[in-house]
Amino acid sequence: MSSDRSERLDDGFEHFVASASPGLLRSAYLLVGDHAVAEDLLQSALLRTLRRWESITGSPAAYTFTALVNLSRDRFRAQRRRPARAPEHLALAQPATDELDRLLERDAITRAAWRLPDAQREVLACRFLLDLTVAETAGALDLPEGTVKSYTARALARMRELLGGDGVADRASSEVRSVD
Amino acid sequence: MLTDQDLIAGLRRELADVQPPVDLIDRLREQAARGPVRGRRYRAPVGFLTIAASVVVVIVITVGALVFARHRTPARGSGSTASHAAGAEMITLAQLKSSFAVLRRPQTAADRALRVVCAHPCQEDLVPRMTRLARTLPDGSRVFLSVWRVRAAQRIGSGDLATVPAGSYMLDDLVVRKGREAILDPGSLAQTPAVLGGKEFGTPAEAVESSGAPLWTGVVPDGVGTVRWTFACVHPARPMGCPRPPGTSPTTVTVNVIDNVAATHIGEPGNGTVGAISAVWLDPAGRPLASFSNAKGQTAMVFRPHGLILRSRLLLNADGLAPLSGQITFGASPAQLERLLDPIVGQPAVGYQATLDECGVDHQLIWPIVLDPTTGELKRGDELTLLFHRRRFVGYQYGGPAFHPDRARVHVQATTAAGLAIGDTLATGQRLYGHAFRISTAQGGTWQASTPLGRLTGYAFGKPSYSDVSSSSRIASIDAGDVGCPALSP
Repeated sequence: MSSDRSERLDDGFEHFVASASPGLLRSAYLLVGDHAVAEDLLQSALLRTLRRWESITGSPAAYTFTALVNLSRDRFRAQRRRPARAPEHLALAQPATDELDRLLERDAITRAAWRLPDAQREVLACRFLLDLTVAETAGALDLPEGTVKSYTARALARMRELLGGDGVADRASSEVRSVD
Repeated sequence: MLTDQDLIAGLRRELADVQPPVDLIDRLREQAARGPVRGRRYRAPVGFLTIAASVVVVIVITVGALVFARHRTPARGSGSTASHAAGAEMITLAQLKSSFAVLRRPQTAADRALRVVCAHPCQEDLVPRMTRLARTLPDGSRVFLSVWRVRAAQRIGSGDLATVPAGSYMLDDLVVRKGREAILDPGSLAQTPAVLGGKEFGTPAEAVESSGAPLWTGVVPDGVGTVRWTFACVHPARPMGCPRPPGTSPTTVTVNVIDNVAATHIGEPGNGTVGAISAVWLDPAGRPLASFSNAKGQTAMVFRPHGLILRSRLLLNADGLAPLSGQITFGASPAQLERLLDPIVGQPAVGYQATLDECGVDHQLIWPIVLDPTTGELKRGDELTLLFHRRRFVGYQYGGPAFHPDRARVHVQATTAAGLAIGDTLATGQRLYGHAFRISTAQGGTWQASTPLGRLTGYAFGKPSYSDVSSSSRIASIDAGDVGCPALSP
């Protein structure tokens, strides 16, 4: 019986998971800074979405992201009662100095994003990892559209400042251009 | 100075490696099946309950208010990307499992013995729990069925296969020689017997190097009892596909299907292998279910499916034809048509040929559409005929007045957008089109359907008597546009 039920996920939902889960996972990763935790949050958020799938009338990605944000806040509150654990991006396992430099350089922009306030990071994730519109982002985060725009601008400016301060702006820029 | 675009592109690039787990959908299925987790309950003393209840009420109200303020209900969304409603068709694991019994049986230790090495970085992820050992051959070779999940949206194969969305599942056979491991080459999934959902996209049969005679394998869905492969010749120098030499007769072998796989050694050791020219799938009673032709002896066969396939490969519209790779409306050139139809029906049997210049038609292109299940030969008479006037596509006829319903099981799967195919009864047409579908005794039986794109017409199969056409008569042809003289008119 349970196997029958397990086979009957809505096709539209499966399609949504396949198409949206990479962006959602990256967003979750940006929120919590830990790949494994991000996966867990994504799974829980998708389950919440699944339970409301039939009644979601707007963007399911926006709905799932809202669930992700709520879950990450729950987790943050729970974490405060537990011993601190170094985030994944800081817990590099003793690479050689050159290797460490290389890794840090490769993640320069992400690390800059991690230093932003939560609200700005959430806006960044919505706008640029999930490709939601300003209106959808505002809906997902329960913010006025003007706030979404100002958070976006401030976040990008702050990241630029952080990257410049780290002295990695030129390297990051050249990497970006090489990708383009 | 970093621009905003640099930052955004850089952020996306840095996070590109963050990919969801391959089995995310499966995990969700399992969790959804389990339902919500319930906590344990304990019994408290009655006296304690009174105090506790008061405290709990206060706490609940306070916490509830805080949580409500903090925790917004997820947005229903203002505006919508509707990502789940757009894009290419997703092929699910459930679809594969529904068509292949071997995937539905429990996995054994032998199934798990498959080891695959990607010759280059894999573009797909193996789903380890779905590997199945389908056959062990006398020389120790093992034929595995493996399920792969497409990592990123990609184009697989060519022609009518649209871009496969990320997350789709596909089935492939892998032959592992004794003491070896399977090696997956880039693009090999499109060249081997492989299935995407219920749709074949590789070859129906494939020759594999073997220490003995060449090993031929094929993957078939449920319901196929045997396969019949016809080979043109034995040719040591051209092992994978020799054209049939003039004057030689083809060789046909029938192979039993076990665990959705047909596999057998054919030919002699060291004597090369044989070029397959056709494959026919037969049900356990020996009736043909689907057929493939490869008249030119190419390694990649042209697939001619029927019945087992989940969707139409060629839509017959009132304003032209629509293969999965695009749309051809009336007015297109012969070259455009040949290019778009080639992946489905191959090259025309009759090239651009002049006809009597009458009734708005002066040239035609003809493709045979029926493969004789006994000989593997393409039959003339039941054809896809495209009609032209001044090098412009003006009409087509699929099937013909001489079409016999017994052949309906072996034609190219082409249907109207509503799902009507040759071989269907006129009652089916009435069900699909309602009042827009009409039948007539004119010309021995004809039908027509009004669609938003125009009018579809055709012959109905029956005895050539005006009184024999009824709702149980069958569709003999599907036509649209100008089809020459006399025009069909119910």
